[in-house]
Amino acid sequence: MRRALTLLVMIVSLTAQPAEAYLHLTSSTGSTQTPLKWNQTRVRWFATDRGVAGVTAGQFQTAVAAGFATWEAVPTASVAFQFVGFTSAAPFDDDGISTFGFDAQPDLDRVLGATSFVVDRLTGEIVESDVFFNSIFTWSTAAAGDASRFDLQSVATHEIGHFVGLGHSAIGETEIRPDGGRRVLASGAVMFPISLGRGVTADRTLQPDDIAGVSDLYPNGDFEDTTGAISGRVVRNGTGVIGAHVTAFNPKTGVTIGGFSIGEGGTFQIAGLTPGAHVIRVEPLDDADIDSFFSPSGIDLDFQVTLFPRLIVAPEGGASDRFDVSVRPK
Amino acid sequence: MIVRTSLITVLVVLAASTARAQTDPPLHHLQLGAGVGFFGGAALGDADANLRTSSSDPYRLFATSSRQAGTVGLDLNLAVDLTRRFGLEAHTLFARPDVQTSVTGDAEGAPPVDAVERLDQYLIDGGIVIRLRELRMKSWEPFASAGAGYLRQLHEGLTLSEHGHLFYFGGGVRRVLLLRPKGFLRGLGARGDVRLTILSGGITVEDKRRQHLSASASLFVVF
Repeated sequence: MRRALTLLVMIVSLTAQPAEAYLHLTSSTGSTQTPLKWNQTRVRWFATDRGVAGVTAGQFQTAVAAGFATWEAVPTASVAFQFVGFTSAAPFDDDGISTFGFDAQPDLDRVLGATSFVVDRLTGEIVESDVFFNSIFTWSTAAAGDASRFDLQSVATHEIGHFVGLGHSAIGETEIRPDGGRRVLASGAVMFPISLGRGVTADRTLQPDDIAGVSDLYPNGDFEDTTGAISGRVVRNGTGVIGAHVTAFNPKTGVTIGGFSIGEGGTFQIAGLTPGAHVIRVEPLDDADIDSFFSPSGIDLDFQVTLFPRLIVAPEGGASDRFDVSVRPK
Repeated sequence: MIVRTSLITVLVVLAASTARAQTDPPLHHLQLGAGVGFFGGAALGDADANLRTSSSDPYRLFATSSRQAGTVGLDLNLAVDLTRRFGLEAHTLFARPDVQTSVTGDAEGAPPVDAVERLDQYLIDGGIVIRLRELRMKSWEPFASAGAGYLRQLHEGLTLSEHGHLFYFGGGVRRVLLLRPKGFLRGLGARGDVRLTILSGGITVEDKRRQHLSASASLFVVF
């Protein structure tokens, strides 16, 4: 039972939509949520044979390949890719091949790129995934970036995160712009849904939240034995809060990794943490559009940012006892 | 409670014997002590939760400053006088200090909190003791000591342990309260210690050595 999930995730430019931190994409069958992931040991991909102004097809392929190499190099994850060749096919063609390429989408005037999937809804296996880069924007493959253009490798690295099954990360801060869009103040993950802007190449490098997410999805070696997890619940007046963004900060490593209270009754679990004590912070999803994180409704935003008054220990190779974080209405 | 019961038993045994006042325990006899110790607090370090920006300046989501609080614990010690000047000692202190991380300056205005966890901490060390007999005041004999040892700290819930090592130097006073010329239990005494302990490793933030002041008072028996 295969079905295309179209335009599931996208990265946006200076304004508009959000995304999350370390969220796995899932397929729903009834009440069952199955993570989307590739089952192939080496995922094959194609690049379109068309460039755009400032970026040839060859430069495009090189930039995307560099993005793939970044994810493949994560030592705690087991995922590999293979460039097959150039194709005249367009992204989002339901043709059985995974294609990366430019496409002009004037209607998506705040969307830099997006990823679509064909999945087996029963198993969650990704069968095909295409990524398009919106050619209404100007792009650069310059090593140090180009202040007037978006860095192709950075956006490709983000989209490849979706390609492997990651959703958006909410580790970031934004502010509302006068035109109604959002401006990114800061980002703690490549998978944050809003670009840091033209000329910025920071998203060529994965952040701990990205690494934890892909390692949790494709664990390699002793990842699960050498990292820890925390689990808990977000509650307000005794009732579970759905969709809260929960971050765990390890003062010793300086690393922040995030998750969401999207389990039953507002439960959450964050895996891939360095063993040790963590500061827990809970915030509403107000730094991006909700639908860039979750498709279902019912996300609760009516609570204050809260710092938990206990340090929570992620044990090595295990999970913490479940704890409740009580939040107050705004 | 076990310690207190043991000490009372020792006192009864010694009181039943003929005791005579002496100032020094016999050489090469073990002195086993138990008492109460205070292990002072120390800063563990500061760390900011930073995010990337479009420039090279990080964006601070919040700031943290961590500290291990002082606490009272159980002190056990074992000593032997090799000569009238030099001796050896081993020492352990079990305590349950809090680690407190103050979280401030949240970018979205979350009220500051002190996030806390309680540790189980074991210090096990050994060193040399130098008796300063010439500085004796009445029956109290001062001493200086220095040594090294092992640190074991278990996070709250006892699901994760961290290790380190320590160096210490300090001193104290000792007084023999009772002595017997023969028998299994040869005497009873009291001692007080003050130390500066330098910890490396274990639960910390900045991986720097940290200095803790400690003090203990104990009774010891001589075998």
